[in-house]
Order: sequence, then structure tokens, then C-alpha cells
Amino acid sequence: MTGEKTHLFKLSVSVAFISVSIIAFQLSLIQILSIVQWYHFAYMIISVALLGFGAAGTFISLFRISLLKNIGSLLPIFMLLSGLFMALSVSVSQSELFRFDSYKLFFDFSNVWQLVLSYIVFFLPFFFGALSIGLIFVKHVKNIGTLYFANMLGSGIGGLVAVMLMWFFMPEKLPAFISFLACFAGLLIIPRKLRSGFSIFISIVIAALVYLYINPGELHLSEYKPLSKTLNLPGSKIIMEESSPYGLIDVVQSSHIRYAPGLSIKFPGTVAVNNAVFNNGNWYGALIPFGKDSIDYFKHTTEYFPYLINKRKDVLILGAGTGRRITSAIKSNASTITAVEQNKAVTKLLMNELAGEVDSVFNRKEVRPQNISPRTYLLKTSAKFDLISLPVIGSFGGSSGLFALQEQYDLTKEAFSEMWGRLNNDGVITVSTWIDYPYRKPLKILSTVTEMLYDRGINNADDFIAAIKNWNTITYTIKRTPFKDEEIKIIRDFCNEMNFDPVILPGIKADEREKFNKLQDKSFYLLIDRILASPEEREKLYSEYPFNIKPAIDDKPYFSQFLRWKSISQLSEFFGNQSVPFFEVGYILLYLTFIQILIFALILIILPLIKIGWRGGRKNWALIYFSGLGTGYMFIEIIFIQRFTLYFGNVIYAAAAVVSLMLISSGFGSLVSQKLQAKPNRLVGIIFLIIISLIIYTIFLSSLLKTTIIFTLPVKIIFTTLLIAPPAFIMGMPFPLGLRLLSELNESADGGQVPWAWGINGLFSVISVVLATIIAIEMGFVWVMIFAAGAYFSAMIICFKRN
Amino acid sequence: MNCLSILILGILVWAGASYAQDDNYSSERETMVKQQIEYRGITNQPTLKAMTSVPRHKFVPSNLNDRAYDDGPLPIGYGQTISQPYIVAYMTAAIDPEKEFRVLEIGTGSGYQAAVLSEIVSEVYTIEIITELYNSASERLRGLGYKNVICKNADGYYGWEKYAPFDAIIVTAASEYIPPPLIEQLKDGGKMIIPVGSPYLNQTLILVEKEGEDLTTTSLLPVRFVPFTRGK
Repeated sequence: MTGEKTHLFKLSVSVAFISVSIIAFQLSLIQILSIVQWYHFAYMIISVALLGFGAAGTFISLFRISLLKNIGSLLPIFMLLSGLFMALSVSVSQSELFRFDSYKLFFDFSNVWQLVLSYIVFFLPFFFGALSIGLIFVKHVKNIGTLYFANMLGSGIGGLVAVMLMWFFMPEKLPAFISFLACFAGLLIIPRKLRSGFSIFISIVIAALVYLYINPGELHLSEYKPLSKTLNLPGSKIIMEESSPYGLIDVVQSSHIRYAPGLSIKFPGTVAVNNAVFNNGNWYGALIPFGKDSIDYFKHTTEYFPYLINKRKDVLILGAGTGRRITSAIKSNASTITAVEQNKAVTKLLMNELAGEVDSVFNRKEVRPQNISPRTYLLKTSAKFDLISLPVIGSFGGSSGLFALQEQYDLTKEAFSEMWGRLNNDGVITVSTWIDYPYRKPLKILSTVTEMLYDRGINNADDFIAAIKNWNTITYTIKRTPFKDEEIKIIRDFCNEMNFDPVILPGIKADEREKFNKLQDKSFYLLIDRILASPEEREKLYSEYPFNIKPAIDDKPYFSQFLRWKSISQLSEFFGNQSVPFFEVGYILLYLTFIQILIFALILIILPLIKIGWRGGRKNWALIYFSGLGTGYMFIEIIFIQRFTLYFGNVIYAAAAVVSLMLISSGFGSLVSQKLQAKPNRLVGIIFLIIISLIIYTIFLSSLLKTTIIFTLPVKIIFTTLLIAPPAFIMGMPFPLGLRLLSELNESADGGQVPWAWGINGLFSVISVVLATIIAIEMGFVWVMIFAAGAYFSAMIICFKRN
Repeated sequence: MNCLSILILGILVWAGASYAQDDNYSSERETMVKQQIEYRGITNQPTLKAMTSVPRHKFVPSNLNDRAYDDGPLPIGYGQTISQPYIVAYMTAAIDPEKEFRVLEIGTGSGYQAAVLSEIVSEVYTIEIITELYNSASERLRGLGYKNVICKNADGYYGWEKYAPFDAIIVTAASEYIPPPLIEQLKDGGKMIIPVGSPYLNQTLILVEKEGEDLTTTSLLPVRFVPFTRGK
């Protein structure tokens, strides 16, 4: 190898390592922030922190000459600093001065200051990491194909590494561990002549990393997280803690946890004390022993009545959690129980270390655990069931809209249709929800099942649905055949015995609905009746009601997203400005995040123009081309994650596999592009291919995945690779070719546009992630795909013009 | 002698300042009652009187004193809040408190609700499970002279059998079920009230009424609320 080639190889390895560390750090940060705060705050903070990539481009644009002059010494310093800030991120962000509580943000503005400090802490590792990558790209733009390959390969591997490490490291230790990779990247490229000068600095950094790995700092959960509240109860303590990519699992022993959702006020017994499981500090489920009397309360809940009206031999429990409903099914004499639960880590614990806590309910011969998403199971199975049971929707008292952005494929119209198809003749689907106020969840569930029945040619939905309520929950039971008179009588008797009220029942009288549990706002019944009345009446209601109660569908699977912008002023008037954010924190935060990063991104795009000039030099071309690539690429990545999550039935592995596969394939595309000449007409051709493949995928991908979902996992992996790799390979070419073209075209001008263009691409990648979620919520995933094609189209058109 | 004069002067200035501050809060209190409580339709006179006299600012963390009379809940630590003034008034009025009442409160928190009740009824029994909150609330209530409030640090699930039956029970922390012992400890004809909703969005309150063996619940709306969609 010649000296130049060796140097390029070393640089490529270094770029790959710093890229591994940046992506792995990003994922570990999401996990940590999801534990101490909530997922959507993690999303907001990390989106801002990721602007570090764009900021690095801006910084290089502004100080390009002096940075390039000292690149030999600066590169390792930046990588070491990136590593150091990664390692420091936990202890600093969790210190008293920096720690903030997201729940207080909307009413205690002093928290905003801490939020800004947190942004800075998390921004720095990305900024310095990106600065080193950007400098290498700018300095060696002629070899951009190879270097970009290393960048993409490293990022792809980083995703997989992070997921793997989460099984072995506690969340607070992970950033410090990952920081060693960033430092290694820096050590690789220290120029020989500077090695002795660097030795003290390196020793200090490594000593600091070792110290921070051993003492990473403690994670302080928000005092409003359910785990924190539980640990405030006297004598409560964590008896087991396990890390996994599914989250941090805590098992809490307490003499005060009593779990009895929806219990009748006529229940004469004692609600037993249980230990409980928390995931990322959020309630996951109670550990209810099979043998104890604790489960008898189940017969005093609205969830029990499907067992009362008929024998349920074959039961399907979707989202089995800690097994409460499995125990109920066994106690109700079910002979086979299929328990579908996606969180493999918790199921594994319940079948092994925690088996004693639940009297080995998951290990019983009649129970068949399935570690897969409920929806994927429904798509795969051909079995029929007497009862399909869903978990209680939402959390008691409301989740303040924290799930608004969560894709809930188990609650879409298509999901209920698949459940319906899996029922035996007298089979039922049962689903309970808390009665929230203003009424949202009970209405959306009803509109979903009513429309599902209507689509199947059933116009008299009220003959197939029975709903009963107590003081805080409502349970819907949807039967494959109309309810019979004797079944209706059993339901009525059960209601009378338990102080429950029927809400939907064939032949129901108005006064029956309020015998025991009255609602001051009686519009609830009217709304229910309007949903059941006719398709026209339903549509009218959807448009009039201030909340979105239209059924979620696979293309817009956001069941818990209820807020509508047009209603915000109306809601503020009724409930006060302070309360409105808590209707849907997730939704509000999404827009807040978008506005924040848009402002920052605009500043970071405009700032370099002061230095490189506002006009001429193909700036319009660079702006449209690189923003188009950044947006298009991220939109497609998000679409693929969404589609393949259902396909594999596991969001974590699907996301890791899709992202890694795409990045690595694009890396190879970039490597091949090194051998191509950077000409506008070539770019037009490549982007045209991407657009064509997008159109083909928009039309065929969903049905292709649906028909192959029954394949075994190895076949699915091969099939996925064949589907993702070719377009991703092509998608890896336009960026390095574009940078090379820009560099060649600008050689005679000021030459400062390469870092600016790289920054634009980075900034638009961050914006696109948030924007894709907004488009998916407001318009559906198909539109994300259409906009992706549009973004690539704009890049193609500008190349065409250039040509 | 000079020192003594300065000390006396200092005490007088401090006392004057404290008086001025309290006086200032009393006007805020009156505004709170008028604009947040009466305006929203609460007319129960004993409740309005109690809300006017209990110094709410002494029940919130000192750094939030100036926001004590705001129209919203405030954090008091341990993941708990002091409820919005209107909610406190609403819950108090909902049990139709009378002078001779014996009331049980589950979830003392800051002690504010107990103090309001204490101004109206003869006996208030309040239970707090979190030891730190119990310690601060009981000390605060004692310090402010609420002698008819008896505090206990225990699990509210069991109620307080020793002093049962109660004319009314106020559960200030949202609960996904109603503990059976509380139903047992409610007097015939008694009322129990429980909030439902996130701490920052207490939109409904459940009123449980006991008449012999019969139990009924009513989901109440604490906001003056016009249903969104009227019948057609």
C-alpha cells in the first residue's frame, strides 16, 4: 500500500469507528432519556442535539481555512472530545444544575433553563464527532465515495452494536463504554510527529473515561414517573433490575401495590398486595400469583362478562404483559391460551427468574407464549378462537397524551378486521378502556369496531356489540354472531349484581344506562348512538367533534392521537390554557420540536452565507439538491421501518435491521460511486432510478409483505435484504457524487460550499424525521412515500437544469 | 442599648413586612375565591368562607409562594401536587359539609384540603402514606393551629376504622378502584368523592353515595362545561 492509500485506509477506519460511536451513543441516549423522562421528551432533546451535525457543517464553512490548516492535530482532538462528552453526558445531565423535569415544563418556566443546558450537554458529542467527519470529507472530497462508505458502514454497524450492548450494559454505563470507540477513532489518526505531544492529553481523557465508566452517575427519574411514585411508598424497593433493548426492567416489591382495574364497588373481599414490573420507569404490570385469592377480583370487573355468557375454550390474549388475563382465562376454564407478548425480555423473566411470582403461569401446559407483536401474530396465524382479549386501553387517569405519537397497529380498523376473521362462530373480541373526559377513547374504539363491521356488510352493529360500564371503565364485547336473548339476560343479571350499567345491548332502554353509575355529561350516550346510527351520521360526528375519534387505520396507526388544531382554542376556553398541553403532550411536543429544529436549522444554513457569500456559486443548486437528498433518504428510512415492524413483529429489531441494512447498502453504493464520474446527467439518471423504485414500492410493498409474512425468519431476512438493499444501494450514490461535483465546480470559486452542503444534508435529515411523523399523523404514511419521491424529484430537476 | 434598639426596630420591621405580606395574600385569596371559584358556580357558603380564610401560600413550597393563588395545581414534591383551588372547593362543596361532620381524607399531601375541611366540620381525619409528606403536613397543620385535624402516616386503603363511620370521605389521590374498606366505613347516607384524571387535568370527580345497601356513583364535571356536541 502506498503512503496515501494507507492514510486513506486509516482515515476510513477512523470515520467508521466514530460513526459507530455516534449512532450507538444516540440510541443509548434515547434509552436513558426514555427512562428518566418520557420517550417524546427524548425525541425532542435528541432532535435538537442531532443538529450538531448541521452545526458542524456551518462551523467548517465559517472557519474552513484555519481548520484545514491544522487538521492533523484537530481531528484526533475533536474525536477525543466527542468521546469525552459522550462519557460525561450522563453524570452532567443528571446533576442538580442540569436535571429538568419534563412534566413541569408547561407550568414552571424555570425548568426551561435546565432544558437548554441539557440540549447543550447532548449537543456537544454529536457536534465534535460530526466536526471530525465533516473535516475529513472536506479535506478528502476526491475520495468521498470511500469515506462516505466508511461513514455509512460505521453508522449501520453502530445501530446493531447499540441494540446488542443494551442486553449487557446498564443504561447509565453505556455512553461511557461507547465513548472508548470514539477515542479509538481519534487515536488511530494521531500524526506520528504529534504523538509525544498528545500523550498527556490522551492519558487524561482515557483516565476520565475509565473513571466515568466506573462511576457513570446515577439516573434520576422524573418524580412523576410511576416507578418514582411507587418507590416513595414506605418499604417499596427494587428487587430486580435488567437491561434490554426493550427497556430497563425493574421489579418492585412493595406492601402497598394493589392492582384491581375496574373493580366493582360491590366487591366484598380484600384486594391483595402484589409486586409489580416497570419498564423504563413506566407501569408494565402486576405480578399476580395464580394460587392466591388475588385474582378473584376479576369476576367483579366488567372484563369478566365474555366468560359468563359462553364457554371460552380457545383464548387468544393479545399483549399478555405480566399474565393477569392469562390467569383469568385459566380460572375461567380455558383449555388453550395463546399469550402474545412482544416484550421478550419480560416474558423470559416471567418464565424463569420471576416464574415463582406468577406461579409459573407462562410455563403451564395450556399456555402458549408467542414473542411477537399481536398484529403480526394475527397476520400469520390460521387458528380460530372463542375469545380474543385486548389489554385495557390507556392508563388510569390518562397518560396526558404521551402515546399520541405511538403507532398502535393492534387498534386499527384492519387489526379488528383480522381479529374478527380469527373468531369461531360464537367467538368474541373483548376490549376495555377507561372512561376518559372529555370522551375520546371509548368513542374511538366504538367507531373502529362499528366501521369494521360495516365494511364486512353488517349494518346493524348494535346487535353484535355489547358494552357495559362501571364508574370508570367500559368493556366492549364484539360477537361473531348477534347476541341471543339468553346471553342478553345473563349480561343484565351480571350488571345488576355488580352495579354495572349496560351501555350497548340489543333492546336496551334509556334508563338502564344510568341505573348505578351516572354521568353528569350525558352526551356520552348520544355520541355512542350517533356512532352506531349510520355511516352518514358517523361522518358528521367526526367532523363536528373537537377531538379526532375517527378510527385509526394501518396507514395512520395513531389510535391515541385525538387532538385537532382547530379545537385548541375551544379547549383552552373550557379547560384553561395550562391544561391543554396535558391533553396530548406528545402531539404538542412534536410540533414544538419541529419549530425548534426548523429555527435552529435556518440559522445554521444562513450563517455560513455571511462567509461564503449570498449569491452565485451554485448555492441554489446545492441547497435544493442536498436538502432533497436528506429529506428523501430519511422519509424512505422511516417508511421502511414502519412497514418492516409489522413484518417482523418486533419494533426494535425491525428498526435496527432496516436502518443498518439501508446504511450499509448505501455505503456500498457510495463506494461504487467513487469509480463514477460526477456529472449532472449521471445524477439525473441515478435519481430517476430511485424515484421509479419508490413508485414501485408505494404500489407493491405492502401487499408483498402481507403475502410473505408467513415465511420463516431466515427466509424473511433474506427477502428483506433483497427488498431493501437494491434501492438503498442506489440511494447511497447521489450524495458523494453531488459533493464531488460541487467540489469540482467550486474549485475555481471560493470552494467553501462543500461543508455547507454537507451541513444542509445533515440538517434536513434531522428535520425530516420529525416532519415524516407529522405527515404520517396528519395525512398517512403513503404521503410520506409520495413526499420522499417529491424530494428526490426536486433534486433531479435541479440537476437536470444544471445539465 | 443601641443594639437592643436596633433589634427591636428590626423585629418591628420584620413583623410589619410579614403583616403586609399576609395582607397582600389575603387580597389574592379573595380574588381567587371570586374569580376562580364563585365565578365557576360554587355557591356553598361554608366552602367559600373556608377557602377565603385558609392561607394557601403556607401549603406550597416557599419558592412557589407567589403562585399559590394561581388557577392551577402546583408541585409539592414526591410526584404529588396541591390541587387547583377550584378542585379543592369543588370536592369540599360536593360532600355538602356540615358543622357536625366527621370527615376522612385519604392523601393528606400538603394538608391544604384538610385545613379547608377543618374550617367547616368538627373532625377531620387525614391519612398520608408518604412519610415525608405526612411529617411536613402534620407539622404545618399543627403550626397553623388546625386542632381538629388528626393525621396518620399509613396506607389509605384500610381507611381509619377506629373513628369510622364517617359522614364523608374525600380521596384526594386518583385511584383506579375504590378500596372496599372505605365503602364499609362510609356512614349510611354518606358521600365519598374521588378524582379521576391526570394531576394537571382533573376533569372529572366521582361521587359515591351510600343509601343502606345501595351504592351509586355519579361522574361530576368540575368545569363549567357545555357538552361539545348537542343532540340533533
